[in-house]
Amino acid sequence: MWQRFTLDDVRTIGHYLGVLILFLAASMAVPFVVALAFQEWKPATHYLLAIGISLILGSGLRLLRVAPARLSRRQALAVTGFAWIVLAFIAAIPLYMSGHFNRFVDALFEGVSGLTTTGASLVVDLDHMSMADNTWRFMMILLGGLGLIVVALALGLFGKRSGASLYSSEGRSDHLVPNVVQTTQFIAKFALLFILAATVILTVVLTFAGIEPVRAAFHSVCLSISAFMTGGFTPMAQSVLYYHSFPLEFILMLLMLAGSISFTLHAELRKGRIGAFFRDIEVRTLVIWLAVATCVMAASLSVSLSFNDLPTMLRRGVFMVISSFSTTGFQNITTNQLAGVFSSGAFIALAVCMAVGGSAGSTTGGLKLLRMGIMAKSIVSTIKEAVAPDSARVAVTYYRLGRRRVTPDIVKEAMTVFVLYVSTYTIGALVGIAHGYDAMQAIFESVAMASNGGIVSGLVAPDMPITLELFYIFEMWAGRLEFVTLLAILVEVVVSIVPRRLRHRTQAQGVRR
Amino acid sequence: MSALTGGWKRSAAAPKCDGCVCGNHARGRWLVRSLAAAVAGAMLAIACLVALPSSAWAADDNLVNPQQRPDSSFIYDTEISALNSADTYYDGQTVQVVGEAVGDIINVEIDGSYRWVNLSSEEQGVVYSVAVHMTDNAADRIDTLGGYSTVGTTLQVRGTFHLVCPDHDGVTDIHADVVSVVDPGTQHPDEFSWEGFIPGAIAVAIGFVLMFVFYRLRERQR
Ligand SMILES: [Zn+2]
Repeated sequence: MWQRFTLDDVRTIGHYLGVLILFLAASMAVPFVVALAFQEWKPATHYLLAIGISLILGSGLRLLRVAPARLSRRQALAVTGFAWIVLAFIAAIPLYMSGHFNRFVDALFEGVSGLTTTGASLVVDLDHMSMADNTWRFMMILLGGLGLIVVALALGLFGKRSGASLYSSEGRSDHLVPNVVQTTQFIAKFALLFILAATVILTVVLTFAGIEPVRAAFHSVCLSISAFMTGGFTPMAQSVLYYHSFPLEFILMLLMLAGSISFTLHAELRKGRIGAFFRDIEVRTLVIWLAVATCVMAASLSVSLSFNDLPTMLRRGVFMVISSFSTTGFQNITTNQLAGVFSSGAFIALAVCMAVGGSAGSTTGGLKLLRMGIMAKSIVSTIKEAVAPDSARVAVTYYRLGRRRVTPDIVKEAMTVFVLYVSTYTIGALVGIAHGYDAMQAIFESVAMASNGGIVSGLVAPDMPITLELFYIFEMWAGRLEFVTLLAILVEVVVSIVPRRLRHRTQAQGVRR
Repeated sequence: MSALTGGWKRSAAAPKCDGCVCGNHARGRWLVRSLAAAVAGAMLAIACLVALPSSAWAADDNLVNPQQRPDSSFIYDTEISALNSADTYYDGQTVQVVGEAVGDIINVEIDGSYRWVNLSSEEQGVVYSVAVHMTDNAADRIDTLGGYSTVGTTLQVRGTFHLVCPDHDGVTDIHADVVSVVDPGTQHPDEFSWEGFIPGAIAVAIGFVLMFVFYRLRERQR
């Protein structure tokens, strides 16, 4: 039976969303301090006002329920699901005040794109944006990449008891250590270490490239966060192309690869279990998949008129494959080259890479390699069963922190999410086509949104139709939550709004949960 | 010839031409000559005035590409936005663009005497940019780079446009032959004023009051 939200539910959910908004207000202190440090007084006033507004909203929501009980699973789902859109809304306030967005929805798009680590951007004139506003864009990537809930849990914002149900509702539900708060702290520490190391190296590279040290350091922090969190924002409008630096691109590729491998596996590697790492189903799928994608890309580019000499192909092609498969969204070719000069085969290969995505339990979006691997195993199992004698029992296994059997439940989950992703890609493509865009580009853009990939071929632009923009916001949101959480709350919201009598009739017809 | 002239576009920021080799003169001369045939008289006098400083061009210290191919002698005075959606038609053509130098001057890998400069220009609310490959001497003429609270030096660049540059691993770029300064950059730093912070301060104060109310209420419930 579908359950409707009671007033008590709404108050509790409101309370916890309020906590998250207060947390966002606190993190706005970072761009505020940056603004003061670089004497960007106008942005400083914007961030102070935004902090004030979020404090009022957050505290106000918390007053809905002064002493909330422990979150139930349903409530946790709702908090997680709404958090992304509510926080994006708050995050959009200072962005909109910056004057770099044509309308508020564009700033909201930027907020959703940042928090879901999609990386598509609607900033107008990014090259003249203040350091403070840029800092805020990368703060969003950092918070969203780690997982809003993960960060809040690591800081102990929800208390000890509500943790478990919240954590598992955020989509990336690998448990590294039994205690949820410890797990989240491990992830946060680990990611920050990686980002710090990369920042130091990139600062050296960029200083050698001729950028003054303070700016070089700033760009390095931004790029490191964006690469490891597989976000895709860049501080300059020309994306990674801006730097004209192969060493930089190489380091970013390593970071993106590291970011697209599950945190669980990172933990295994750190414990020295190299065997477990290479036997893992996702690492194997990743190696096979990357090899296939690169070959397809190379084959398609080598018969095209440009990008067909080897150094060019390696530098542009491999970077774009890694950027798309890790759903980062960096570009070291221009959007014009992507849509107009790249062969259509290479174009589609990138879209497929984004659609599949990286490892489950990492910051990548898309379907995830684990699900692809399991579905492949399921196909193998079906064939085995077909050819095996009647008496034989077929067991197909995969390796993930130990050998596991491919059970119908696991396959069902993988298939369900697969179908949901593919239908969203398709519907999004149709929405784009209905707005009069080129079909190939519409498909590409829809995949880039729902997979949180963020490489754009031209549809996402400051003057795009608002209906398309709203649909893309929905796609990013749905993709980040891997659908199940989102569909669950949508159903509950609908059920809560539809009058009771109607619902009784459906219940009488025997609709059961 | 006449078919080609249909392609001329007037650049948005018409540069001042005295002393630079900018191609506007070649066009100006041709235009005026054709107009003169129709109007004659007074117009001819203007034509003479425009043509006069032409002898001074060669003395300019701008870099001129001696290997300029004869087939690229038609220069396309174009917008950066057009290059941002360029197809192969533009590839290898000599183009001339005007734009603001933004961001940083970046060293070209391997070849130390060249620099990358990012030129950008705004058109109908959208900002377009293009990478320009130029000598370090040319890049030295940039006094300000565009960024927050600065408007960079406006440059006019004439050079060869590459859609997929064979020399630089396939980037879209312009190899500059002639770089001239149209407008120097300007700085307009934010002025500090306490008044600007007042709305924020009030909001933060209200926020803290609400937070205080929350904790008082919770204490009372225990
Ligand atoms: Zn080049």
